[in-house]
Amino acid sequence: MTTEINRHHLLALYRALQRSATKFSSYNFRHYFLRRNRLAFREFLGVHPVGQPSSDSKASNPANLNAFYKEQRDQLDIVSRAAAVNRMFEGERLVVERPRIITSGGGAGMEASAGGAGQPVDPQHPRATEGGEPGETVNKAAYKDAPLNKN
Amino acid sequence: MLSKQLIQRLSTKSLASKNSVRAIQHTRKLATPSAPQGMATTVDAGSGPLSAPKDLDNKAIIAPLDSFGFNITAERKSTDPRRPIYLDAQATTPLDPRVLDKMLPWFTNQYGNPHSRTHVYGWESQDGVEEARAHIAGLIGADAKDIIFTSGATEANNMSIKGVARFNKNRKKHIITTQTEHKCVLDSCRQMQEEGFDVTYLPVQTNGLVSLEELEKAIRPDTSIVSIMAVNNEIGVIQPLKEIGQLLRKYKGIHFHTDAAQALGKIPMSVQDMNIDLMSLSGHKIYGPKGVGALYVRRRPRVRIDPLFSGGGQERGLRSGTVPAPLAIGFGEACRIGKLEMQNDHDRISVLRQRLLDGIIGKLDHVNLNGSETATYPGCTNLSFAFVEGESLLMALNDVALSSGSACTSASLEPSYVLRALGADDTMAHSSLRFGISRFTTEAEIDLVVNKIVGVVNKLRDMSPLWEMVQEGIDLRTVEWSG
Repeated sequence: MTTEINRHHLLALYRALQRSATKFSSYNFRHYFLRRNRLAFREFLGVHPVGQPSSDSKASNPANLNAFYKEQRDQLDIVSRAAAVNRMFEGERLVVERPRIITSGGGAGMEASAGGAGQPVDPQHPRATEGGEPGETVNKAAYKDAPLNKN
Repeated sequence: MLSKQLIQRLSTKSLASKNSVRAIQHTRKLATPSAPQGMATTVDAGSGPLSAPKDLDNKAIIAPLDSFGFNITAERKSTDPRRPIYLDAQATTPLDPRVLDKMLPWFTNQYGNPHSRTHVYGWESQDGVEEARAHIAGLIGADAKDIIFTSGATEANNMSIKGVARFNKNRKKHIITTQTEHKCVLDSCRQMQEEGFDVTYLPVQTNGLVSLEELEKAIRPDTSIVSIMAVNNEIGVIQPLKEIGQLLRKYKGIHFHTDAAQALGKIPMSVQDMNIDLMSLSGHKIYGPKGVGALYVRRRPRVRIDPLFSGGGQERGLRSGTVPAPLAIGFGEACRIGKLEMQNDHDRISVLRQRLLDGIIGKLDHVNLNGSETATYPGCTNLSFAFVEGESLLMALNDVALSSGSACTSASLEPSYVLRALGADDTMAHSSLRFGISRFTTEAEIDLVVNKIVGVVNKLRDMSPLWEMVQEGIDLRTVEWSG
């Protein structure tokens, strides 16, 4: 017996997908999958960047809905595995990322400690522990050495 | 807290293994993964840019370890340990994590030879490879049987040009290509010249496109193959393949080969619509693995080629040697994803390119966009910065992984032959940078590179006496240089 896929199923799946996307240690992959998941769900539900789902969304057809749900379930498996592998062979951070001091709380790895569970390593400089959410922006202060003498 | 004794024991115990570890550690710090060899668990929390330098004396590191054995040292390295951002998507693209996930089982459990016919290991590998072949064929509108796996686009290009030319050598002695082709095509043609063939290297117009009239004029009754690339690897222009295909179809017995390594999965390609007889494809340009590529060889009407390799007769006898099943399957998966994501990627990359151009051209004068403005793949943007030396620009841009041209020619100080073929003068060809945007590039990276480029170019120009003269209104071409 199967239950019909409803809004809660889709939302839970979406959250799980986004959560696993944040677990990539590579900046580019993390951002790509966050964006891609959002796009895939928005497109399927007919949600425009601002506003409500449109009535002619693909989600109104149950066959489409089941196919989409299954596809995204598979995607979730793939992304979680891929993120785990990506973390195993983690490299240095990119220059666009904000420096993030790894704190000692939890000991469950970078993603747990950077999420705010841990204590600052150096209480004298709490700013250094300022971790960014996955949607980091360019930290202008980090590039003050760039010789921007014009404009 | 760890006792001194324990630390002592830890360091002596690890001494023997440390030596071997050190031997396999990369010397370039920026390229090392965070020491997976020394990991206690699969997740190394204390690694990355903020951990202690790896090249310190072994005994000097008394790393505090927590109860799970994690190294939780939180020191910054003295030099900036962060990696530069990657904007060189024409050299290679990162392997898509979904592709890696597809490949891993074939690297671990399913290691059979796809050509083994007598057991399940072989059968499953064969099924995987055939599925991949179908995905690749699907992306270019071909039949799965037309796809031959090779080691990459270079091998595919060699196979096409040498194979077709040698097969038809008794009747046909002429090859046509363009001056802006990839080095491996030009080099194969040079090799064929040594074997007694005539080669016409077609010039291109200033926008990088080949002229159809020139092409038609170059055709001779003994022309066996015309090789024109789809998307140029340095300037990103898209050649009018459909028109070329139609033109060549009128002449019987001319084979149309295109090097689509940079086009696959990025712009729609169809071997039927474009009347293409041979097409070279590469895995690592479409977020697939390195070391695998494919050649599309038309079967109807049949294109006959002389194989480069002799051996077991795999791949219809055209390319002997075991097909690397994990790589081929990864390539197939990359093509499957590429087909699904092509439109999204293209839209996204176009937006990023516009952001890049608006940022750079809006803030700097005397910047020249090389190649056509319209018939171009947005992921490859080639800009020339006048009065700036390209190499010094690259040296100053240590936060950005960029290239001044193709990977194979950027080692030499010679200006790019592609830009010279466009008619750019040497100074402009010397000051060019190629921006390769991939599906994984973000807005923040584009903003960073714009900031950096604008800053560095302004700084270099401020130091340049030429720039000073230009600002004073002196036309540099009228200057008589002494010495």
